[in-house]
Amino acid sequence: MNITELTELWQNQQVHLQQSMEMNKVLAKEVQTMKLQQLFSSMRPIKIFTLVVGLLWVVFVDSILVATYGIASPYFFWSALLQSTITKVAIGVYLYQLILLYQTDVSHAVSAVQQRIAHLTLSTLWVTRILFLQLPLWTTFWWTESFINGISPLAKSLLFSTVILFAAVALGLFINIRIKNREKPWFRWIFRGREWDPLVRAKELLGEL
Amino acid sequence: MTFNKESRTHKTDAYLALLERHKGILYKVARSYATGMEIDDLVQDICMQLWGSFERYDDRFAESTWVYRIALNTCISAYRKEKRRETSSTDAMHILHPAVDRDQERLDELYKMIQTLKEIDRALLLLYLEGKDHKEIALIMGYTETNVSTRLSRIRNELKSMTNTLNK
Repeated sequence: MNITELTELWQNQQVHLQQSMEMNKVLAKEVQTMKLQQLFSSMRPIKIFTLVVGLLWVVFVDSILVATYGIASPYFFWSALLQSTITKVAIGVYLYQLILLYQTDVSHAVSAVQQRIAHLTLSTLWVTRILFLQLPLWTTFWWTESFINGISPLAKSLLFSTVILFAAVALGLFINIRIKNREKPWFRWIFRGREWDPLVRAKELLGEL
Repeated sequence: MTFNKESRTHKTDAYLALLERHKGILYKVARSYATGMEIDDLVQDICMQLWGSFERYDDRFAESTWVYRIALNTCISAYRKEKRRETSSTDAMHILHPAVDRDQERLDELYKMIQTLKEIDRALLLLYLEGKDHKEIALIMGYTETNVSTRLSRIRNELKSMTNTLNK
């Protein structure tokens, strides 16, 4: 078969399909009564829920920061402030995703819609990377000056080593959580049980667009 | 209330007429992106998206351009879904019933070839085979005509080498 034959074959199919295909009107009507599953609507509730929980958490942490300003330990203050800031950045990404979701109209040009969906899918990786940056802050927020001054040099060095270790892990994950590392054992271990295929496909699709 | 009912009936009739006019497109696009029972799922998904977007139809575009955009976007995005069709009834999956085509074997080969292409290339080839000109393909895909022309030339070469392999 050459391309002209293929085109003819394809176009003859159209005539034949129009004659032989029977639309079941009853079933077609049924589609209207089904709960409309917009392509991306299933993503909305979980994103809205996460956004609300994130906002409540930020309000909670910020209220404590304001209420304890000047009296809380500087370790607590800076840990909580940074944690709240990182959460706000993650909330920003979620907001960006929700805006993309609401702006996506399947009747727009294919490249524009697919680009938007691919960016949306890939931005979930960003949330994970950003949230890992909080890791070392959970090892310092409970410190107080009297506690730090009161422990032995060995305990102190153990404590600081832990912070450095957590910071290195957080930074390492922030840098390396990328699609290209998806086959590596540590990546598979962290993201076990999650559906990463859409992310990989989204990356490929972006390349194609 | 009566007005609402009438208006809904009118919308339903217009929607069914639209499906009737473009049922061929729905089937061909779905079959280019799925196999077996998934074709019915995809056709149904497209029908739902058409119904959902029906009131927002922009008459600056030809009806078929609008249908192609929705059908292609639905099929290309279908990979995002982790589980397909859990809420709908099984019967509703079979909206369209294509009869066996006399050129079925050759068509099956063609669909197999189409499915080896990447998602966007598949869409472009499909529109090319449909006989759409570069201007309309550009409008559906959101590319410039030059871009469409370059991409199609590459896809045609790819298809040519595939048919050559098949003919050997």
